[in-house]
Amino acid sequence: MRLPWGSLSEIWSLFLVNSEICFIGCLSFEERCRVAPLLVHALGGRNAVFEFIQIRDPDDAFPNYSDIIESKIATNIETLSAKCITHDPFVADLLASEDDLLDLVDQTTDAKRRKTVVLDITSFPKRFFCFFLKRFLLEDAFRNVVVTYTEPGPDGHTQGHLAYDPLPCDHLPGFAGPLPPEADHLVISVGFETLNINSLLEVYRDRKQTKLICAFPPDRGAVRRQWNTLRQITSGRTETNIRSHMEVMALWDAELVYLTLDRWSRSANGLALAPFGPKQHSLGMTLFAIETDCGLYYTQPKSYDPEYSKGSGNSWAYVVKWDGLPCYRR
Amino acid sequence: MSQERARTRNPFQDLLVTELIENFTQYRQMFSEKILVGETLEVFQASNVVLSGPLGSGKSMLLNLVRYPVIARWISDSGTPPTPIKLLPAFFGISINLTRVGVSAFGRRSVAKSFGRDDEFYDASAAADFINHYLFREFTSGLKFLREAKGRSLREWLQIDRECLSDDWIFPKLSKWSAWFDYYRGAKTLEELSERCTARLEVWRSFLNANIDKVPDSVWSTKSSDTVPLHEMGNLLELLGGGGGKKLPLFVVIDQYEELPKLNRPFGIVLQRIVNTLVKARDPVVFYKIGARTYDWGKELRVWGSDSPIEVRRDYVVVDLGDVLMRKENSNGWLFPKLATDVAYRRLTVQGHFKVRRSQIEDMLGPWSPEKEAGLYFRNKNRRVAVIPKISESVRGRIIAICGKHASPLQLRLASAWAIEQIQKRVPESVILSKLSGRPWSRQWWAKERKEIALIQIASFANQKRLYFGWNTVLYLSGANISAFLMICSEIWDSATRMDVSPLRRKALPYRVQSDGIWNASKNWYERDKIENAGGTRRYQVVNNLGSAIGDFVVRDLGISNPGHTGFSLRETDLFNSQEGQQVALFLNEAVSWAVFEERRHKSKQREGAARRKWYLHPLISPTFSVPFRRVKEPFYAAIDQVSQWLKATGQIRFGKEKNISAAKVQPPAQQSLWQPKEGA
Repeated sequence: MRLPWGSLSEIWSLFLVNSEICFIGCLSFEERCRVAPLLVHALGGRNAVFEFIQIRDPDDAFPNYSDIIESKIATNIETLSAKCITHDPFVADLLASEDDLLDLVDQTTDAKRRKTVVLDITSFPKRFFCFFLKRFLLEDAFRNVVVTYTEPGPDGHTQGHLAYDPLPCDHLPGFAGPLPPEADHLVISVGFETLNINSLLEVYRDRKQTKLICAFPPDRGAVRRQWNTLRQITSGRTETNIRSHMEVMALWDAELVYLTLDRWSRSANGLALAPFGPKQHSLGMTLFAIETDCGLYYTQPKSYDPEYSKGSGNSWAYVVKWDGLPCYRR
Repeated sequence: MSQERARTRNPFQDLLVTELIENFTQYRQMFSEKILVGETLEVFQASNVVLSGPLGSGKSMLLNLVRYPVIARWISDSGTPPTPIKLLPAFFGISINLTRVGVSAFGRRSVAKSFGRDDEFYDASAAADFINHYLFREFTSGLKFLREAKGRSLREWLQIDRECLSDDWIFPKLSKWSAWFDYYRGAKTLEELSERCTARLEVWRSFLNANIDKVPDSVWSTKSSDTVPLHEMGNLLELLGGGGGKKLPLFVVIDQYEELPKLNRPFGIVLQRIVNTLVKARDPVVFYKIGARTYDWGKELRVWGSDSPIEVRRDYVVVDLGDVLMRKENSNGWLFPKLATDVAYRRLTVQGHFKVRRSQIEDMLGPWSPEKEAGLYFRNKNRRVAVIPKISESVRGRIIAICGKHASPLQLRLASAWAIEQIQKRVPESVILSKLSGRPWSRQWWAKERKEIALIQIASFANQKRLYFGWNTVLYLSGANISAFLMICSEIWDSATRMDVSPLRRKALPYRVQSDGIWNASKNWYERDKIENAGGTRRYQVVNNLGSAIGDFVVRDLGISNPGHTGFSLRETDLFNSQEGQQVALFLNEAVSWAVFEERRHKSKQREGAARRKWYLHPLISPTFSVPFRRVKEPFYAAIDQVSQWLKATGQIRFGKEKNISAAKVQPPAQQSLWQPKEGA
């Protein structure tokens, strides 16, 4: 496994200069969703094709933030339009089916014609970007794939709940795991929200062991929230010696997540993964799931807080496929 | 016991029964089989059963016992099946968790579309094939298990001759099955069968995961039909059991049925109809056991390919665990106290390794009485008269004179409530004064129905949170839900260790400890639904508005003239006669399923000839909103549009009838002082 990563500017200069780029991003209510496309544009990707997908919450999502969300998206469109890097986005339902997602991949056909796909996962829900990533990595037509992610600003995330109304546990599209008794270890990447984690534990009750991946986050507020989540996850657990089943790793270290999963998998009859944590950790889990054909499980919230993140921070890039070779084969 | 040990080993902390289910040793030690199985025997008999109950009522624990690996371990460890089951005919149970194995993805990744067709039949038949082959894989695994040494006890219970499990005996029978359309042709051993079955299921998984674009012809052209393969499995099992009219039924546990429509919007209902079709077959040798939250069963009862529904009592029976454990009007034979005692005892002795006697459990929390509780709010006896609002001085004076200045606050509050009720009815003061001498507030039923509200009001007059303590209080607050009971016990245990009190001391735990734990449990139960469950955020908002309104109503109703108005009632017909009614019903049913509301049927006291249903907050949520958790008298009769407004409201709402409390201002002090007295405890 070799996963070249760094700031988007560094990766640009090392890999992307003079590339034909198809940039795929999520046009969301978050301010940070516009950072990576603007940066790519500014770094010289003026000939890049920019494709955006705008995601609609389900009609029965509660709370219904559609008015606020629409107004925030309009602001983002305005900013991007000023640089001539938007056109009509594709619109998709948050609970898009596997077939809908396949259609979306096909609709962004420019991605196949272009030499390099830049997938900005910043504001994409997991059920979208994990599926896209799998298609991009497994299909030969996509030669180079770079994932970008922009952190929230210094104020981080909203102090309240980030998301509401979680559905029961299900696999993410494209990531149904092997049949029991395979995958007897469950690995949960811990985030700020437990969502409906009980339903995950219920579905995956035949597991022999649960392991946890925690992020080493940058501020005290985030630490408190993460440990609060951890406490909720573990309060009903019989495995009292939780420390021996837990790894803490840097927020941005997708590669270490992959390597840790690889290590754990050697003493298990397969892993099932639950990416409830930060996006970069989800990236590491997705790469591992694609390579080893294991399941990704999540309890999809139906509504996201419009103040999910505040401002924008650094943009990172991860070269997950180059010259037709996925990073985990290097 | 050291505090350190108590702190680190809270035996009630493992709330998740799912954790116990896969750990057989713990499961057997913690499962109250004599009580639960004894009351739900139909689950273990040859009939299709829907086991319903709200979240946390113990459905999974019970259904787990149907599965062959579990009952096999039980028999192997104990030498016999659980007591009530050993009196029943033997059975062999396999299971499918529809979410775990990925059934929820059929239709989202459409087979029909891959063939360029727009026909639900393609996807329905694909899903049916997957379910059939998955259960066949479970069945063959079970047969392999019976051959092995670890399957011996189960084999003996099932009275299966080991020789009948040989490939030579089984395969001539299997080869006659037309159900598989020759897919398994050439397989000679159970292992080979199992491998081919797994390979087929993997093809489906690859398709659903979009790893392949088309289902290979070898799979598509050998699709099994809906109910035949399971019937064949049932027949084979009966033959293994000896045949000749000797029954050995095949039980199939279906898990996560209720989640399908949520996880698969385009096709979830079709998937449910496929399962319904299995039930509708009323197969004489195969019986389905489905667990579902109270109202998640019954939303879709049609079978696949027809509008014909499956019918309760004809095609299946419903065993309502909530009903089994819920207290009836007559509390004789109430099962929940026995279950709670047994569960607490097992938790303490097995999980905690503490030495306690079963008879000690109730004593750990001790008794409760309204008089005792009332006395705790006003230690200073001179302040007790604060519970008499400043009504007419003469009435107030008469109450104090009759009861005595140092009387129980409960007596003073009930007496003044009676007087206020009379004032509201515009009874002349002279009549009230004369009737007071007869202590009318002490009449048994009048007082009984009002005591709990009076206690809430007394706590409010004392500017204190209500105190909750005592074994019976905990039973009532649990609402016949074993998870709620465990949460209360866990929080009380934690409160005790925080306050440096031994949870297992000889005397009952101090009321402050118990009350602190119960308040925490109430908050947790209320918050839990918001974050964790589908639709929880909306329920949280509604419960917050409605709970606050009921609590406000209760505290302000100083005449306690409608003691039952702590819940509301609707005509059943109103719940399905209009779209508004259906939406209200949908919300309320979900809230009952998630153990946020409690629901009961009742007869109308009005001469309207209609059946009614009444709803209350779940008892464990009641403390958070200062709402009584014991139900008395008639609830508030609400109109459907009124309830609909409550559910839509984003801010404060008003509950109950507007009171003519102006009559209470006959001798007014400022109104504010009625509700928020300055005197404290």
